[in-house]
Amino acid sequence: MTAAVAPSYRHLFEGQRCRLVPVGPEHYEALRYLEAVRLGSWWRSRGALQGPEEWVRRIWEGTAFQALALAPDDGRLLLWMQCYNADPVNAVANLAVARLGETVLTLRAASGLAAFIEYCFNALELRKLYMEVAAPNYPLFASAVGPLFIEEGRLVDHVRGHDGSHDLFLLALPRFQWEISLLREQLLERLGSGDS
Amino acid sequence: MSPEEAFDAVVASVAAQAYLDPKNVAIEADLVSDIGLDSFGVIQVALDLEDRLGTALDDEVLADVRTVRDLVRAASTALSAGRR
Repeated sequence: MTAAVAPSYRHLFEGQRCRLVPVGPEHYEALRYLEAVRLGSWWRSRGALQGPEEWVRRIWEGTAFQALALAPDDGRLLLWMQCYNADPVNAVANLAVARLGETVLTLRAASGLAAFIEYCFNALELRKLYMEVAAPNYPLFASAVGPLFIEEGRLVDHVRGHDGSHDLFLLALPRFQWEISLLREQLLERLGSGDS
Repeated sequence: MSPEEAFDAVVASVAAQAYLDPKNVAIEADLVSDIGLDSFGVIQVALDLEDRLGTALDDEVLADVRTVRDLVRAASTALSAGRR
Protein backbone atom coordinates (compact mmCIF):
# COMPACT_ATOMS: atom_id res chain seq x y z
CA MET A 1 0.00 0.00 0.00
CA THR A 2 1.14 3.53 -0.73
CA ALA A 3 -1.05 6.58 -0.27
CA ALA A 4 -1.39 8.89 -3.25
CA VAL A 5 -0.81 12.60 -2.65
CA ALA A 6 -3.07 15.10 -4.38
CA PRO A 7 -1.18 17.64 -6.52
CA SER A 8 -2.50 20.51 -4.42
CA TYR A 9 -0.44 19.25 -1.46
CA ARG A 10 2.81 18.54 -3.35
CA HIS A 11 4.44 21.67 -1.92
CA LEU A 12 4.28 20.10 1.54
CA PHE A 13 6.16 17.03 0.32
CA GLU A 14 8.91 18.66 -1.72
CA GLY A 15 10.62 21.04 0.69
CA GLN A 16 14.23 22.01 0.18
CA ARG A 17 14.96 21.44 3.86
CA CYS A 18 12.87 18.33 4.41
CA ARG A 19 11.10 15.98 2.01
CA LEU A 20 8.06 13.86 2.86
CA VAL A 21 7.48 10.48 1.23
CA PRO A 22 4.35 8.37 1.75
CA VAL A 23 5.28 5.02 3.30
CA GLY A 24 5.37 2.25 0.70
CA PRO A 25 6.62 -1.32 0.26
CA GLU A 26 10.13 -0.09 -0.51
CA HIS A 27 10.39 1.15 3.09
CA TYR A 28 8.98 -1.87 4.91
CA GLU A 29 12.21 -3.78 5.54
CA ALA A 30 14.05 -0.76 6.95
CA LEU A 31 11.08 0.40 9.04
CA ARG A 32 10.46 -3.06 10.47
CA TYR A 33 14.10 -3.24 11.52
CA LEU A 34 14.15 0.29 12.97
CA GLU A 35 10.90 -0.28 14.82
CA ALA A 36 12.37 -3.35 16.51
CA VAL A 37 15.78 -1.90 17.41
CA ARG A 38 15.03 1.79 17.97
CA LEU A 39 11.42 2.18 19.03
CA GLY A 40 10.46 -0.92 20.97
CA SER A 41 7.59 -0.42 23.37
CA TRP A 42 7.46 3.35 22.80
CA TRP A 43 5.81 3.04 19.40
CA ARG A 44 2.25 2.02 18.51
CA SER A 45 3.37 -1.63 18.31
CA ARG A 46 4.23 -1.58 22.05
CA GLY A 47 7.32 -3.64 21.22
CA ALA A 48 5.49 -6.52 19.48
CA LEU A 49 7.68 -8.49 17.08
CA GLN A 50 5.85 -9.91 14.07
CA GLY A 51 6.56 -11.64 10.79
CA PRO A 52 6.81 -9.44 7.66
CA GLU A 53 3.25 -9.96 6.42
CA GLU A 54 1.66 -9.52 9.83
CA TRP A 55 3.82 -6.45 10.43
CA VAL A 56 2.66 -4.81 7.17
CA ARG A 57 -0.95 -5.54 8.05
CA ARG A 58 -0.47 -3.98 11.47
CA ILE A 59 1.20 -0.73 10.36
CA TRP A 60 -1.78 -0.07 8.08
CA GLU A 61 -4.43 -1.16 10.54
CA GLY A 62 -6.44 1.97 11.36
CA THR A 63 -3.85 4.13 9.63
CA ALA A 64 -5.27 6.91 7.48
CA PHE A 65 -1.92 8.18 6.24
CA GLN A 66 1.74 7.65 7.04
CA ALA A 67 4.86 9.28 5.69
CA LEU A 68 8.59 9.53 6.23
CA ALA A 69 10.51 12.78 6.61
CA LEU A 70 13.81 12.60 4.74
CA ALA A 71 16.81 14.90 4.51
CA PRO A 72 16.79 16.09 0.88
CA ASP A 73 20.57 16.02 0.43
CA ASP A 74 21.38 12.45 1.42
CA GLY A 75 17.92 10.90 1.85
CA ARG A 76 18.55 10.21 5.53
CA LEU A 77 15.45 9.05 7.38
CA LEU A 78 14.49 11.61 10.03
CA LEU A 79 10.94 10.83 11.12
CA TRP A 80 8.23 8.22 10.68
CA MET A 81 4.81 9.80 11.12
CA GLN A 82 1.40 8.17 11.20
CA CYS A 83 -2.12 9.55 11.30
CA TYR A 84 -4.38 6.82 12.64
CA ASN A 85 -7.74 6.08 14.26
CA ALA A 86 -9.35 8.75 12.09
CA ASP A 87 -12.93 9.45 13.09
CA PRO A 88 -14.62 11.23 10.16
CA VAL A 89 -17.78 11.93 12.15
CA ASN A 90 -15.98 13.95 14.80
CA ALA A 91 -13.14 14.93 12.44
CA VAL A 92 -10.42 13.79 14.83
CA ALA A 93 -7.46 11.40 14.51
CA ASN A 94 -4.33 10.33 16.35
CA LEU A 95 -0.81 11.35 15.47
CA ALA A 96 2.27 9.21 16.11
CA VAL A 97 5.80 10.49 15.47
CA ALA A 98 9.02 8.49 15.76
CA ARG A 99 12.41 10.20 15.55
CA LEU A 100 14.75 7.84 13.73
CA GLY A 101 17.78 9.54 12.21
CA GLU A 102 18.80 12.21 14.71
CA THR A 103 19.18 12.23 18.46
CA VAL A 104 17.65 15.70 18.83
CA LEU A 105 14.77 17.39 17.04
CA THR A 106 16.33 19.60 14.35
CA LEU A 107 14.68 22.37 12.37
CA ARG A 108 14.51 20.22 9.25
CA ALA A 109 12.74 17.41 11.11
CA ALA A 110 10.42 19.89 12.84
CA SER A 111 9.60 21.40 9.43
CA GLY A 112 8.77 17.92 8.14
CA LEU A 113 6.49 17.31 11.09
CA ALA A 114 4.78 20.66 10.48
CA ALA A 115 4.20 19.69 6.84
CA PHE A 116 2.73 16.34 7.89
CA ILE A 117 0.38 17.98 10.40
CA GLU A 118 -0.65 20.55 7.80
CA TYR A 119 -1.38 17.78 5.30
CA CYS A 120 -3.43 15.76 7.78
CA PHE A 121 -5.57 18.70 8.87
CA ASN A 122 -6.32 19.71 5.28
CA ALA A 123 -6.35 16.52 3.21
CA LEU A 124 -8.20 14.48 5.84
CA GLU A 125 -10.39 17.41 6.87
CA LEU A 126 -9.68 17.08 10.60
CA ARG A 127 -10.39 19.54 13.35
CA LYS A 128 -8.19 17.98 16.01
CA LEU A 129 -5.18 15.68 16.29
CA TYR A 130 -4.45 13.66 19.41
CA MET A 131 -1.08 12.41 20.60
CA GLU A 132 -0.45 9.76 23.24
CA VAL A 133 2.69 10.76 25.10
CA ALA A 134 4.46 8.52 27.61
CA ALA A 135 5.42 10.29 30.84
CA PRO A 136 9.22 10.10 30.19
CA ASN A 137 8.73 11.88 26.83
CA TYR A 138 6.42 14.58 28.18
CA PRO A 139 9.26 16.88 29.38
CA LEU A 140 10.70 16.95 25.84
CA PHE A 141 8.02 19.39 24.77
CA ALA A 142 6.22 20.38 27.96
CA SER A 143 6.61 24.06 27.08
CA ALA A 144 4.38 23.49 24.02
CA VAL A 145 1.51 22.41 26.26
CA GLY A 146 -0.59 25.52 26.55
CA PRO A 147 0.71 27.56 23.61
CA LEU A 148 0.03 24.74 21.13
CA PHE A 149 -1.19 21.49 22.70
CA ILE A 150 -3.95 20.97 25.22
CA GLU A 151 -3.57 18.25 27.82
CA GLU A 152 -6.91 16.47 27.67
CA GLY A 153 -6.24 13.69 30.13
CA ARG A 154 -4.26 10.76 31.35
CA LEU A 155 -5.06 7.39 29.80
CA VAL A 156 -5.95 4.24 31.68
CA ASP A 157 -3.49 2.42 29.39
CA HIS A 158 0.22 2.41 30.29
CA VAL A 159 3.40 1.89 28.30
CA ARG A 160 6.03 -0.53 29.56
CA GLY A 161 9.68 0.44 29.16
CA HIS A 162 12.81 -1.29 30.39
CA ASP A 163 12.52 0.79 33.55
CA GLY A 164 8.94 -0.06 34.37
CA SER A 165 5.44 1.11 33.56
CA HIS A 166 4.74 4.71 32.56
CA ASP A 167 1.63 6.87 32.43
CA LEU A 168 0.29 7.95 29.06
CA PHE A 169 -0.93 11.51 28.56
CA LEU A 170 -3.39 12.53 25.88
CA LEU A 171 -2.44 15.80 24.22
CA ALA A 172 -4.68 17.48 21.66
CA LEU A 173 -3.74 19.84 18.87
CA PRO A 174 -6.85 21.72 17.71
CA ARG A 175 -6.74 22.83 14.11
CA PHE A 176 -7.65 26.45 14.90
CA GLN A 177 -4.77 26.66 17.38
CA TRP A 178 -2.38 25.18 14.80
CA GLU A 179 -3.50 27.56 12.07
CA ILE A 180 -2.95 30.71 14.13
CA SER A 181 0.34 29.61 15.66
CA LEU A 182 3.54 31.44 14.80
CA LEU A 183 5.36 28.11 15.00
CA ARG A 184 3.36 26.72 12.06
CA GLU A 185 4.14 29.78 9.98
CA GLN A 186 7.85 29.68 10.84
CA LEU A 187 8.30 25.94 10.27
CA LEU A 188 6.40 25.85 6.97
CA GLU A 189 8.42 28.85 5.81
CA ARG A 190 11.60 26.95 6.76
CA LEU A 191 10.43 23.96 4.74
CA GLY A 192 11.53 25.93 1.70
CA SER A 193 8.87 24.67 -0.65
CA GLY A 194 8.40 28.11 -2.14
CA ASP A 195 4.66 27.80 -1.72
CA SER A 196 3.95 27.94 1.99
CA MET B 1 27.33 40.46 11.05
CA SER B 2 30.48 40.17 13.17
CA PRO B 3 31.26 37.16 15.44
CA GLU B 4 30.50 39.40 18.43
CA GLU B 5 27.09 40.25 17.03
CA ALA B 6 26.47 36.56 16.35
CA PHE B 7 27.28 35.82 19.98
CA ASP B 8 24.91 38.57 21.11
CA ALA B 9 22.18 37.17 18.86
CA VAL B 10 22.56 33.70 20.40
CA VAL B 11 22.42 35.07 23.94
CA ALA B 12 19.39 37.20 23.07
CA SER B 13 17.56 34.21 21.53
CA VAL B 14 18.30 31.90 24.45
CA ALA B 15 17.42 34.56 27.04
CA ALA B 16 14.14 35.39 25.31
CA GLN B 17 13.02 31.77 25.09
CA ALA B 18 14.09 30.90 28.66
CA TYR B 19 12.83 34.17 30.18
CA LEU B 20 16.32 34.95 31.48
CA ASP B 21 18.31 38.13 31.82
CA PRO B 22 20.91 37.93 29.01
CA LYS B 23 23.59 38.61 31.62
CA ASN B 24 22.70 35.27 33.20
CA VAL B 25 23.25 33.21 30.03
CA ALA B 26 26.62 31.48 30.50
CA ILE B 27 28.59 30.37 27.46
CA GLU B 28 29.15 26.88 28.90
CA ALA B 29 25.53 26.41 29.94
CA ASP B 30 23.75 23.32 28.66
CA LEU B 31 20.57 24.39 26.88
CA VAL B 32 18.49 21.63 28.47
CA SER B 33 19.97 20.83 31.88
CA ASP B 34 21.19 24.34 32.80
CA ILE B 35 18.95 26.72 30.86
CA GLY B 36 15.88 24.51 31.21
CA LEU B 37 14.79 24.38 27.58
CA ASP B 38 12.93 21.35 26.21
CA SER B 39 12.99 20.14 22.58
CA PHE B 40 10.23 22.57 21.67
CA GLY B 41 12.17 25.40 23.35
CA VAL B 42 15.37 24.56 21.45
CA ILE B 43 13.42 24.64 18.18
CA GLN B 44 12.01 28.06 19.14
CA VAL B 45 15.52 29.32 19.91
CA ALA B 46 16.79 28.06 16.54
CA LEU B 47 13.90 29.72 14.69
CA ASP B 48 14.43 33.00 16.52
CA LEU B 49 18.17 32.83 15.93
CA GLU B 50 17.72 32.28 12.19
CA ASP B 51 15.54 35.39 12.08
CA ARG B 52 18.13 37.44 13.98
CA LEU B 53 21.02 36.18 11.81
CA GLY B 54 19.08 36.43 8.56
CA THR B 55 20.46 33.06 7.54
CA ALA B 56 19.63 29.38 7.98
CA LEU B 57 21.46 27.25 10.52
CA ASP B 58 23.03 24.06 9.21
CA ASP B 59 20.91 21.14 10.42
CA GLU B 60 23.95 18.87 10.59
CA VAL B 61 25.63 21.32 12.98
CA LEU B 62 22.36 21.95 14.83
CA ALA B 63 21.97 18.23 15.52
CA ASP B 64 25.07 18.35 17.73
CA VAL B 65 24.22 21.51 19.67
CA ARG B 66 24.14 20.98 23.43
CA THR B 67 25.48 24.23 24.95
CA VAL B 68 25.30 27.96 24.32
CA ARG B 69 28.86 27.72 22.97
CA ASP B 70 27.73 25.06 20.46
CA LEU B 71 24.96 27.38 19.34
CA VAL B 72 27.44 30.25 18.86
CA ARG B 73 29.52 27.89 16.74
CA ALA B 74 26.43 26.95 14.72
CA ALA B 75 25.67 30.66 14.20
CA SER B 76 29.23 31.38 13.11
CA THR B 77 29.21 28.44 10.70
CA ALA B 78 25.93 29.63 9.21
CA LEU B 79 27.22 33.19 8.77
CA SER B 80 30.42 31.93 7.16
CA ALA B 81 28.46 29.77 4.74
CA GLY B 82 26.05 32.64 3.99
CA ARG B 83 23.07 30.34 3.86
CA ARG B 84 19.46 31.37 3.03
